[in-house]
Amino acid sequence: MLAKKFRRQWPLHLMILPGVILVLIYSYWPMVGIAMAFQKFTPFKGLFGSKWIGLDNFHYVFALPETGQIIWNTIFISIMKIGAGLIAPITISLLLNELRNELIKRGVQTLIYLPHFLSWVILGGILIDILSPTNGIVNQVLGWFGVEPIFFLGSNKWFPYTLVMSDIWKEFGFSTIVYLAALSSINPSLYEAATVDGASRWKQTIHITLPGMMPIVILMATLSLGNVLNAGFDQVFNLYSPQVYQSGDVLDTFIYRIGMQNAQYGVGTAVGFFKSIVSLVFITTSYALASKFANYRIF
Amino acid sequence: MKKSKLGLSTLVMIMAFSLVLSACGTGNNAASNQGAADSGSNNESVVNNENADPFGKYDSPIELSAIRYVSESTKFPNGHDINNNVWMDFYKSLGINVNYKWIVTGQEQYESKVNIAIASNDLPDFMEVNEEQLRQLADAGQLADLTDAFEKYASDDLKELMSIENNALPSATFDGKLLAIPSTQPVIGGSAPLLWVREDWMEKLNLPDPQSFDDVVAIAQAFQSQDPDGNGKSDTYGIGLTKDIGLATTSLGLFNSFEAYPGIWIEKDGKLEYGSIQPEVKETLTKLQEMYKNKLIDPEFGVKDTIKMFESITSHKIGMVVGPSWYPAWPFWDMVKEDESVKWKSYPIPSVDGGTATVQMPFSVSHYYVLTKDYEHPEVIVKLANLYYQKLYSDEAEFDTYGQVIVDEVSIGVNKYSLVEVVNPNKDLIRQQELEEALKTNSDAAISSSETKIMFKEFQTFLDGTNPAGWSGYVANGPDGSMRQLRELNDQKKVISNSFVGAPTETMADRKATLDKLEQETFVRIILGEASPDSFDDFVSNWKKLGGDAITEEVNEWNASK
Repeated sequence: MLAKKFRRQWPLHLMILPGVILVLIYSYWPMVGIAMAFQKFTPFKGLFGSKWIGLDNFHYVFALPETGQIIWNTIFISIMKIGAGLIAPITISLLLNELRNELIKRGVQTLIYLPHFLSWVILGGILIDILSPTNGIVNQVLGWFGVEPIFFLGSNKWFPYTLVMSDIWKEFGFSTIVYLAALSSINPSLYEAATVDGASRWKQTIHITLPGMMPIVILMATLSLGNVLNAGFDQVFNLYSPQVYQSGDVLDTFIYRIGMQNAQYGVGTAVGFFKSIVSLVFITTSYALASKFANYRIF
Repeated sequence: MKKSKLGLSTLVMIMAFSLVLSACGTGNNAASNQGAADSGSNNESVVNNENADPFGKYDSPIELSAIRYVSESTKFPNGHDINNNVWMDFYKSLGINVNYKWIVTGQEQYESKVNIAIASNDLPDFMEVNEEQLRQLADAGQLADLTDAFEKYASDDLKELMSIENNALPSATFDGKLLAIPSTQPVIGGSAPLLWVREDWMEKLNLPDPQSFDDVVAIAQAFQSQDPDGNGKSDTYGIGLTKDIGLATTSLGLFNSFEAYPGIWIEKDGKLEYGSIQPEVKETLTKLQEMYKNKLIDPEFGVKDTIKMFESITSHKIGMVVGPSWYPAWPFWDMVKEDESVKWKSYPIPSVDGGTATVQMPFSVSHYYVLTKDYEHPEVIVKLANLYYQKLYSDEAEFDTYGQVIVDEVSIGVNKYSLVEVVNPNKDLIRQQELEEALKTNSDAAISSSETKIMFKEFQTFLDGTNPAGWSGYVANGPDGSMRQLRELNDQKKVISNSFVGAPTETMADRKATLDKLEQETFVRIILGEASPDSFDDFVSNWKKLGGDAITEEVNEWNASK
């Protein structure tokens, strides 16, 4: 029976084969390298020659005095980013959706999408300038309202929020487009019916638009929960300084310093592996919850 | 939400790489080790049987396989390339046939390709390696012992050269065996700190030259409060700093003023001690905190890297900065080009007690030349180094042929084609001295290299006003220039470098990232006034507890064994 089915479908299987092979080579084969997390890895001896040390790398990392603070920073920053990264684009896309003037709508959409294409290396330099407490434009504007200059990038109190705000500013345009796409797929006849029934714009938003875009919201939320230990390496790396290590040092920058600069590949891999496991747990849980409560399935 | 997973993906890449490599590597290991062991005894006999002529020709030509990089800026005269040039011809005439297994463009690429070659055990006879690679190869017993070869074949010049930086050879010596020829480089001009001051501001405010650290503070005070740029706003600062306190030259000079030497190992009562935990550092930090509080230091230094600090300098916000001798070329020239009234002048770092301070610079060797252990002519590497020095810097130098040639008015550094590069660590200082002499006699007869002769011509055209762009060279190398001041310091033995050299020790490899972070965070927080100077004492005891004591022990063991 199965053989017969296969005989009929073999061209399809053949077509998927290159994809499977690529995934095996580039996604699964490298996973063997996770073994480094349990080794005192020295490049010269290689993966098979390096000494096996069990969980020593993990013990070492969690015994370091800064690890607790770093994990806390990572979670604090990334949860804020996940939350704000959902709320901001959803709000903006709902507002844009209500706009009648197509020209303004498209214009705004493009404008807020632009920062997405700038790299953090460039933005790092720009932000240092515009957030400067002495002559940055942000503090000058705040000064008009009698606010004392704030050292956004140099104060441990403000630094995490600056990270979140600048990240949202850079990326919310991109997510907005995703949500706008979801909105355009809602059947217009639903709105027509609601108008006939006398529903106001607000009621339409609550009862048609929001439920209509819910699947996408849940998808984005589920995916982003996997990032709970990802606070954004390139952003933090380009904006932080010893002055704000206390509030801004995150797992990725920590891995970078320890794994790349100090060539402790084993320890670096161990932290990376730990991150992956936590992400996997979060994604799996959130997906299970989404499928149970929102009846949402990706597969 | 769409954030990059750079950290993770880099790791995955590395895993992938090493995996593939190690898979090929392990197979070959055993075989080649055996071969190497067999040939070990041959090596010595070869050395012993020959007459030890440092520049001697091989009667029957020898083959030398090598790998190398060509830097992005390397140029070739017409018809020449890396396999066909003056140096290759020269080697051939001496019976040394060099065959390149591979050549890459750019040093960074080269280093990662050498890592791959090491991991896959696909090594040539000759190659250039960095400290870490040298250590790996030495530990794995892959390198030829050059002890005898150096003893017998090194020219007097080469021996003297290696003794100028007295840690050069020890850094290449493992268990009493010399395993590599260090590539000595002039670092004093590149890294030793000087105090750069806006001379036009000084004149305007009628300030005396800085003779002590208190003078520096007074000048900074005047620059901050007396509106030296005359724009009616209080928007200038005394001293520029960068966020890398204790790492970048900008802050090191200030520490040096207090006889503090952060980041390097210094000798104290016959033992090596880590510079960053000495009481002098606390003294410096206390002073800097006070200066920061009085707004003498750029209040935003904590987020600025060097480029950002340069922006503040070129926008006329900063009147003083500690920097190396080449600052006139960049960023100062950008300012002078725009506005001729801008003047920058260097001073030796003034000491806290008056007079000039002893300053620090990094170790002058970061690369090494090695031969793999089954190579039959270990002396060839010593000869290559002899020849390089002979042709470029000795009395018999032929700099116009082997150093620099002028083709169509473009100067081409042909010395870059050589396999090895050993430079007198004091090359920059010698150049300055020759230029000064030449200016006095108004003749370039006594100048030893055509490189310097070209510079002398630039001096002449700068002084007669036809070449304003000669400014930066003149401010650095002229009779009153920054290099002159360094030369004086060097003559007085007032330039020190790291007493611990070579690959990091075991605990260093484990703990350095943590300790460095602790150090920088502490330093910055104290200067910003977020922590009291007394928190330095906590830092010291934490540093010791978190591995510093073990590192100190290892460093001193290394010191005793070298």
